[in-house]
Amino acid sequence: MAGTRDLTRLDTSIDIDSPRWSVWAVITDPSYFPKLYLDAISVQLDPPGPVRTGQRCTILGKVGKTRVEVPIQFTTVDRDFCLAHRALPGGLFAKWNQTVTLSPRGLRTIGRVESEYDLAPAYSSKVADIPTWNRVVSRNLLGYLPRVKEICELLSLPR
Amino acid sequence: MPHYQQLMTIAAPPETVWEILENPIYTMKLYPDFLAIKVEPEGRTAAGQMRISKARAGTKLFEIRTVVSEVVPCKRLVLKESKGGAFTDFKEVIELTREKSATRLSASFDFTVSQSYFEGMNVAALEGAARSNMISFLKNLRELAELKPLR
Repeated sequence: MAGTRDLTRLDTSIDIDSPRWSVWAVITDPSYFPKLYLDAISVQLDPPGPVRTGQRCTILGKVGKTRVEVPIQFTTVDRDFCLAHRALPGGLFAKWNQTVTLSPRGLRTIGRVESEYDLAPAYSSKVADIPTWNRVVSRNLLGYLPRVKEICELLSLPR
Repeated sequence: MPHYQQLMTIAAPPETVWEILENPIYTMKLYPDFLAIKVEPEGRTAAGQMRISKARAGTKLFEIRTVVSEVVPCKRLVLKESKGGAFTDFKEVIELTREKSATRLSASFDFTVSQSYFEGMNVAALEGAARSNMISFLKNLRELAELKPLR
């Protein structure tokens, strides 16, 4: 992890024992979002339906006992390869750009996530403990790929 | 048939609690082992709506199929099993009663894990995991309903 005073950048990757189409199905199914981001509670897509470029999504989350909103817009939806979004104004982040790329490695998949973010001044000015909030956000973003891996590697029943 | 029942008070009005109960997207946050959900038809909870959830038991992925059998907004929600999933029998009844600015919640769960679906697996352990999820469901419901906006 490297960052300036305000902007934090994260770059992580992971080897997933699951084919790329299967990983893609998980990361683009909004009903998985609350499992992929530890502190996400629910999501609402506008317009509803399959994830696509330009679509907006509001993630409702929590930091401690506080409810937060994170509106985003999908900027790239390149099937089985790349999913990217940016934060929209009015939520937790002044900036949150995230790009997930999937690369095949035989029947396995290498997932990579690049994120950069900073908290919106509207939130920063009301929060006494900024380092704690930053830790919560980083924990959510760093936990994303391990959770994708965990879900994708489950064995389906009935066999 | 295993049974679990609990009463509790939530420091939020019934409308707030109902908003969480009736929106299926919250399901994954309420039940720790639920991963994803599809509802048919899409949208808010209505009688007859099917809920097909993916859930995990250890390293296994399985489906839970339920149907909404009764909806009385802000008062009562009943889900029952639907054919083909992990439960041969399932009934979840949630009732809400207003208590000033809070909500009195009564929840009951009756369920039978399908032995044929989980062939070769320890059914008693699965029942224990189901019960544990039901306990967490109520704890998480209270936690979500009591969240405060940033002021």
